[in-house]
Amino acid sequence: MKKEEWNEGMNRLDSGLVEEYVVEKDRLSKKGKRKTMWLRVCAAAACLVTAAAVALIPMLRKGETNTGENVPIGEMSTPATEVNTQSGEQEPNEENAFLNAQTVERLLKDHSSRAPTNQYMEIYAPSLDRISITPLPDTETLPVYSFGDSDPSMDDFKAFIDKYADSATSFFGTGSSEYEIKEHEYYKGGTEYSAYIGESIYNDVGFYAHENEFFFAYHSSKGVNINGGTVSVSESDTDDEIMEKLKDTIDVICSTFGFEYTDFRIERTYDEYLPIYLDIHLALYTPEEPEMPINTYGSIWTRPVRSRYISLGFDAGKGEEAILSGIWLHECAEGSEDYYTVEAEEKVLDLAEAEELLRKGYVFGGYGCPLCMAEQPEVDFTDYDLVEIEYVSGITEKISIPFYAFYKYIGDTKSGLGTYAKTYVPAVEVEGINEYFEKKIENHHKK
Amino acid sequence: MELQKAKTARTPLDDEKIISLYFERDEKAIEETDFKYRKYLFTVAYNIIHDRLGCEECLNDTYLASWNAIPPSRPAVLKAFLVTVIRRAAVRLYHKSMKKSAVPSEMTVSLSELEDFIKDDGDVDSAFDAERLGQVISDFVRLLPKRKRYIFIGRYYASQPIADIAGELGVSRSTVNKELSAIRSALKEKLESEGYSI
Repeated sequence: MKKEEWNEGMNRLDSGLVEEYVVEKDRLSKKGKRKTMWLRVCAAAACLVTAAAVALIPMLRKGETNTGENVPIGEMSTPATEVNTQSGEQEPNEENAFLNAQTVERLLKDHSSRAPTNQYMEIYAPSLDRISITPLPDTETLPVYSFGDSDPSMDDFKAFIDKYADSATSFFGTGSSEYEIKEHEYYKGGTEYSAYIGESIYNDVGFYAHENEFFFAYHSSKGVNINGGTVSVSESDTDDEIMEKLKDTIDVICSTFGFEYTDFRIERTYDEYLPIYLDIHLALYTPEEPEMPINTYGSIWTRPVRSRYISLGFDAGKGEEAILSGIWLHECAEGSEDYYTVEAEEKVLDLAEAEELLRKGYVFGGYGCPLCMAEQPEVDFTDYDLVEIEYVSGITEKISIPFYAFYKYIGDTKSGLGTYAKTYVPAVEVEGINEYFEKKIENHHKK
Repeated sequence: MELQKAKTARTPLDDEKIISLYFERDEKAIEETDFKYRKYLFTVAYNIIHDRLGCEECLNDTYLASWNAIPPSRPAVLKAFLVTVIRRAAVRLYHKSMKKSAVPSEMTVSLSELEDFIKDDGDVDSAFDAERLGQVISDFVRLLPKRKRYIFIGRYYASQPIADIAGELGVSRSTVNKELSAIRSALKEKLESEGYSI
């Protein structure tokens, strides 16, 4: 095909798609502006922010009463009910009791990459054992985390780049190791820095800093050149086989960047129409960080962590060998142990209790109203196929909460992958959850 | 001074009002379109042709085409309509310029990413059916998840720089690169299955 032909075809792209793009672009732009404004307001009213932060976590706690006294963060609670002055009975309070469940709902909606608009999202995999899961805990409590606002320091970022610039330039063959640091507004708020090293934009290493994290990334669609060739594995290999095949490669990478790993995790991500991704995270945990469940799937990319880790990204088309196409190295800023904290050790919701919520359709697939499932074919999760624990972190909500993630096989794609419906039930007790869903159903019927 | 004050205080009209002006054949329609969308349209054109004079030419073509098309057309999303028009104008100019010398624009970079299935710069073959290709690409894009649709159209329709897309989505440039790479592989497969010679 010729370039002009391609462009003529693109000129005839469906107008609905162009409209969707333009509308989405405006939405993203406004979102960024709103965040800036929000930050300014917050900066001017620091006391309100503190009050909001103090109010956030306690909303998850159950059974405690707000006495109005000064109570430390994580130990304060909001009443689930308010007294009806006429009847004297306690009634659900829209502002308080339901907000807890709404906060949880917002956590799931917060992520563009996992922003389901219905009761469940669809996950693709050739079989159940290819879904990377985190097993259920055998503890009675699980931590709920909160994390704060943090901007990286330009000096620290420069030190991070200088630490790796020469080795990255040499390893990836990008030529020049000169760079220029640019400052941007980070989409979650605050500042992000970036710098690129390389003589060509087709072959450079990107260095980034935001929140408490510094990382560099290199990606080549033709494959990362290691010792004069590319490296590949097969998606059908087991985790152990993959690690065995990659032993030499991993040794080279680790010795180049002065890295030792204490644990690894292999994640396979499939798409209905696109190639598979196979990511290998080599993690070096800090003493403060528990290995489970902090660095669980779905959160290693979205949650601030205290670990140092290297990720190796592999791309493959269907039936092809997966080629190592990207390498990321992440480090956390000094003092990251204070960046996010265990706000509370919450009682784990018994699996049977979670299943009861699941049975009733009281789930956080993204869409709050269980009767509005009409947009998706109904899925009966009663006889679900798989359950795991998954932490979900907020963007606007600076907390991270464990969920039971339930999977149910719902059919095959044209390309032969299994399709699994996935939905969430909080794994810790959340205040007002029953009332929240009852209210949703009531509101639905009123419509 | 007063004029300056009035200028800074001016707010863009709603699209509906601008379209009404077109329907009323009021030339303020073009003025208001220019005031509201000039910067964005200029960027789209610049990402394609990398030439300020050329961008001005494309803008004029776009306003004229809009004046001629509305009415009878009543665009659902005016901005999308304008982007479609200016892209066509800019692409026409781009290929004209490319015949003389290389254009160092974002479009050149984005086209080079598609080298797996776009081979050369020659003229459009007489048997080439642009409508059909547009349909095939549209069908493919519709099946992508929303974020990938955004990335694809941003990169290969609007010729947005990867860093800009990454910034908008709040992800790293590598992540966008990675997603684009996957989309290209899948698109190549789709085009092959539709009989396009790659």
